[in-house]
Amino acid sequence: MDLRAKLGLHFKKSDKPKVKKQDQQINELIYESINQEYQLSRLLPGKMVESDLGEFLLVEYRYPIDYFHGRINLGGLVSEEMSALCGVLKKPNMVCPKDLQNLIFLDTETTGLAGGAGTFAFLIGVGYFEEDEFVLRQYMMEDYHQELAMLDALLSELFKYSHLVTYNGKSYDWPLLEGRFIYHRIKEDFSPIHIDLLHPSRRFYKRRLERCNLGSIETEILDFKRTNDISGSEVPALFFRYLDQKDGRILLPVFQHNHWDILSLVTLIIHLIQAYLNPEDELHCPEDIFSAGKIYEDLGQVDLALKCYTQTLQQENASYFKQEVMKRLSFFYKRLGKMEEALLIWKELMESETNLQLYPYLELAKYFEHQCKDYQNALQMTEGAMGLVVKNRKLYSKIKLIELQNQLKHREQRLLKKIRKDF
Amino acid sequence: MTPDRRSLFFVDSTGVLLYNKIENEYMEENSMNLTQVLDQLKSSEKFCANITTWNTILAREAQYSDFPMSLDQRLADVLRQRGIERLYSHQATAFDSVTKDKNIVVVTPTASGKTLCYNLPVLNKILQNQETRALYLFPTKALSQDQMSELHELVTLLGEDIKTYTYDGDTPATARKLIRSAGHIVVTNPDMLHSGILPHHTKWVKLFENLKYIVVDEVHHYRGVFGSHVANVMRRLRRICKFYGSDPQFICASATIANPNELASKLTGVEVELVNNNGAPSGAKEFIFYNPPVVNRELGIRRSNVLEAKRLASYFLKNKIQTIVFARSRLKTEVLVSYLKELCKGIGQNPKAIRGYRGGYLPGQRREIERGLRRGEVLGVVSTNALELGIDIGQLEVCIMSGYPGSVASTWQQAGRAGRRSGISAAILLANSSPLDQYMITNPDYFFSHSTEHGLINPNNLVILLSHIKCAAFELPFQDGEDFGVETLEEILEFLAEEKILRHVGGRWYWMSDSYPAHDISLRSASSDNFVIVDTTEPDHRIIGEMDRFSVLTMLHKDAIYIHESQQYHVDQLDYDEQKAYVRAVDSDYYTDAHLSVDIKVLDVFEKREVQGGDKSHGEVLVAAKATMFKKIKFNTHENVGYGDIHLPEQQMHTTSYWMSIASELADTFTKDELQSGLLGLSNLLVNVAPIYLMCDPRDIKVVTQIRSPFTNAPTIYLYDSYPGGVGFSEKLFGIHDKMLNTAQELVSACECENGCPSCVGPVNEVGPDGKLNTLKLLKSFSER
Repeated sequence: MDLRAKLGLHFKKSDKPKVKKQDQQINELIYESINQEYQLSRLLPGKMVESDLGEFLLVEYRYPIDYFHGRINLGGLVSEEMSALCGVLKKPNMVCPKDLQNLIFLDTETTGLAGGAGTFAFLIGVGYFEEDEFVLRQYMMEDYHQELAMLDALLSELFKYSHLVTYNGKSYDWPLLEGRFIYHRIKEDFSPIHIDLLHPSRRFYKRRLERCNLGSIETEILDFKRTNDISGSEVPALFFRYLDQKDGRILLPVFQHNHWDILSLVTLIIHLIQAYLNPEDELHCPEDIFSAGKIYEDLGQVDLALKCYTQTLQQENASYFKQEVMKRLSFFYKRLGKMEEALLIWKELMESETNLQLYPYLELAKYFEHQCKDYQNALQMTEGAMGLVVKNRKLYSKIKLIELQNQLKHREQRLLKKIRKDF
Repeated sequence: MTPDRRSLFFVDSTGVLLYNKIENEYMEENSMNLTQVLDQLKSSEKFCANITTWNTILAREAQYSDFPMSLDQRLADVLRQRGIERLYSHQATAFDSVTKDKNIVVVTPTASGKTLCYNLPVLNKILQNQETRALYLFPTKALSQDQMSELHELVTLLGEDIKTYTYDGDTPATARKLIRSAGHIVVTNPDMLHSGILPHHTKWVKLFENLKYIVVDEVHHYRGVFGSHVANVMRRLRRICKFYGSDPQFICASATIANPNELASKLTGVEVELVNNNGAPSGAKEFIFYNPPVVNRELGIRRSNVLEAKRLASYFLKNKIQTIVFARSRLKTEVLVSYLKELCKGIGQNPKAIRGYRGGYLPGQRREIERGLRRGEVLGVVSTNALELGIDIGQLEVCIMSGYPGSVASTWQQAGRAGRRSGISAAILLANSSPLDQYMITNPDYFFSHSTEHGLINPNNLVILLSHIKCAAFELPFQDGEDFGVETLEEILEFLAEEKILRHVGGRWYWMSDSYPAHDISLRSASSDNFVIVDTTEPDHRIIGEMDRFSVLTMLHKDAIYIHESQQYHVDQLDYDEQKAYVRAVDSDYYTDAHLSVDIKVLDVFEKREVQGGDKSHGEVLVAAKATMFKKIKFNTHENVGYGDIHLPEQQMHTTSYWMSIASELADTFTKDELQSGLLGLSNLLVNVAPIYLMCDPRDIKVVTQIRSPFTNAPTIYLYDSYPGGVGFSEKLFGIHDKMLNTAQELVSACECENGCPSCVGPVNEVGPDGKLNTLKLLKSFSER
């Protein structure tokens, strides 16, 4: 029995990569025999670049600066506004790029999501501003052996920029590329300042959007609609099929997908900076303005935060959201020592029919007891809280209910003692 | 007179209450010491009647060497601080050999200061060059933690900036980055290396570029399927090192086995030199073989060895002599713990001083027990073989092995748990009724005069090799003409390329899949497609066990009664596709017995030789098994109370086998029935005798008999590896054919039963009334010349 037959015996079908039925169908319907015409360098505005290290495909597009991608144009930012990035990223000490031209935008398409040394980035899109144009370049290895030449060329491009802009690149694209650089021993001392737009986008939009991936940000915020886009999970299989058939048309959707990602990175960073600088103009939903308020609050920008919170409250809102904003605002006032304003909110909440929350009572009780030494009023608040707990007992678990009631009883006892002492 | 208990305890510097043993022994006037207890036992006729041998192993003097010249002064100072003025001879040899750039395997008994054999040269090198990195591999997490504490102690005393870290599944994500770049010594296990480190080698560039030493402790543990996997992980490791320009040296350590340097060489893929000039002193040891009395001669049943273990332990425990009892299963461990706790209450000892120890206990709990043993707070411990490995529990006085541990090597390991550098200790081996136990207990000479078993691995097992070639290609593309320790590499790469898992371009073979191959390959389980057994008795379902595809046919088919830790379960459903069996606890008065027809087909003969009475061969086979029906058999009466069909697909396994066929002249001297019963008896015997030489679990080998084999045209017995592809047992059995038959013959001849029993050829109802006779006749014709 020869080795081949034995291997066949052990190799179970389930080990084979699963080919989706859909893919197969597309394959059979559209693509015929391989033809020179379908080389990627003919299908796309690109050429094969050769160096000592081998060759790779380089695709290049140039956009005028007033090109609109969605509702935002690529030149919608002036360099003076770049310093706002510190705020957007919540990193006050970060060295901000002086100029738009210091930024390089990057997004990779890979052979898998599993990570590890066997995952390759076969297509790397970058974008940068050059004079009055936006240049979008795509570095592509047409087969594995072209990886080194591709990465080497990419790296010498990256070197020119001080700041790298990605979406989720901190935990995905960049470590993967770093691994590839180490593998090829081509990375010297190079670590750009990394601006990952995932986290600021989350801070602004997680209240409103179910998912904060680039796709939903694009549709919901940047007003860009993709047509016939593929999902990221289809990318590896398409690349493997391309390797097999060398028909460039298989990869066109991947190039398009990557292309859109780069453009959206640009409009997203523009939008985030604008939103940070002028929340009233840029943000239209109260949820987003509220989020901006929280960002300002965290950064210690008191006035801007207050402005956002009060602006949120002025708009028509669902009551649960309104209550949340009031809570946040009241505690912010309390921390700032603006007790008058905080009291107003707590009283308003307490008097509202729909209030289910205990904290206004408790806060008022604390205020009366410790600040005003007005034990009678504090007692009244405590009793109010007790009434509310009983009324809404179904909202609590048994243990929580007992715990709450004990706490309140304890407070009541203390207050009664103080009252007796006063007399 | 009971002394004041409070005076028996004192508080140590860390504030922990210690049980002061010496004080206690001194104060308890009625207590006897170990010598006295042994003398008493020796004079007891009843006890001595069951003893098959009482062997005294003499004390050994220490053999020292001065500190080697090249030992760093700082290290020498630290050793002196710990009261070490000289090294034991084997420690010095190990140091010298490593200094001379040799790969070594150190083989010395338990508690001989083995760890210094690798810690010294490694630390010495790091002191000379701060860039030096070392990787320590231990088979289990528990062991690596144990090692860390010892290493830490040395490093702390040194006061130098040497960073040692454990990197395993429990390492917090936040610490990982630091370990990858800054750890001088990284302690891990093969599983983590396989799935967590090698596939991410670019993150470990600092380690791999500067890797000087790879320490592999407990080498004897890496055998069979596990060892064959680990040998391939080592191939991958060396490949990565080569890529980063390092060529690390291997420092291995092993318990005593027959072929330590062969196993270590096969495992690491490099030539390894043996260091075994043990210079550690040891006290005298009394080694006692105890065979429980026969209670049913016809069935060959002996008194329960659990009860005997309890009785023996009581002699020592009541005299406050620290004792370890090894049991063969988790269940027996628990039973013995409760017996001994009960016993302690009866003799006025604290039942809390008796502890159990087995897999499944939480790490914290284990550490507590280990500490208790070292400090003497724990008087008695009952353990599975979990404590056989080099976990530091100090040195106890008595070891009782309830059942033969399965190999000579394990027996010495377990016995080594009792024994001190000076003063006497005792080890007692208690047999059960199985043929293997009975052979060992009645042939003490075999145990004392023979070397230990061979640790066997087969790194080129096709299934295992294929898995690791995938992992290796994922880590680094193979280059044309690259070496992976096998001639067939190129052919396998081509096969994987055809399957579109690899892509051959530009002289390299690249990984062409979006999967992470190491995740699908477990180094431990015999087969990746085991079935899990789900207990649905309670609303919260839980998994109670796993079973290989082959055994499922007869043990987990629908409506089978499955017995697990003495609880009966009814198999309600077998989901074959999902590989799950759903069972429910029941109390039934019958058990099920499935009929399995096994067919074996020879695919390739590697070697064939004529022997007395027939011929022997080994080669590749295809085993096909199909279960057709099962019977319900009533307990006690053995009445057949019903039957059912089994609808499960045929199972095939491609593996290696050893087989012997009987010459026709010889076969003709038997009637067909006689031959049938003789073959069956012989096969039952062989499958039990084979592990004596193989250092494997009896389940790792299976047997099939054919009264007329279509391949050999003669009556044939096949013994095959029960892991796809085989791990090397068959070739070994081919080599020891004569020895194995002799042993089988000795075993049957010595058995006290009349017509056959489970301790030799099998029960009468299986092999027939003349089973023993027929088997012996067959054996005789095989050995007469």
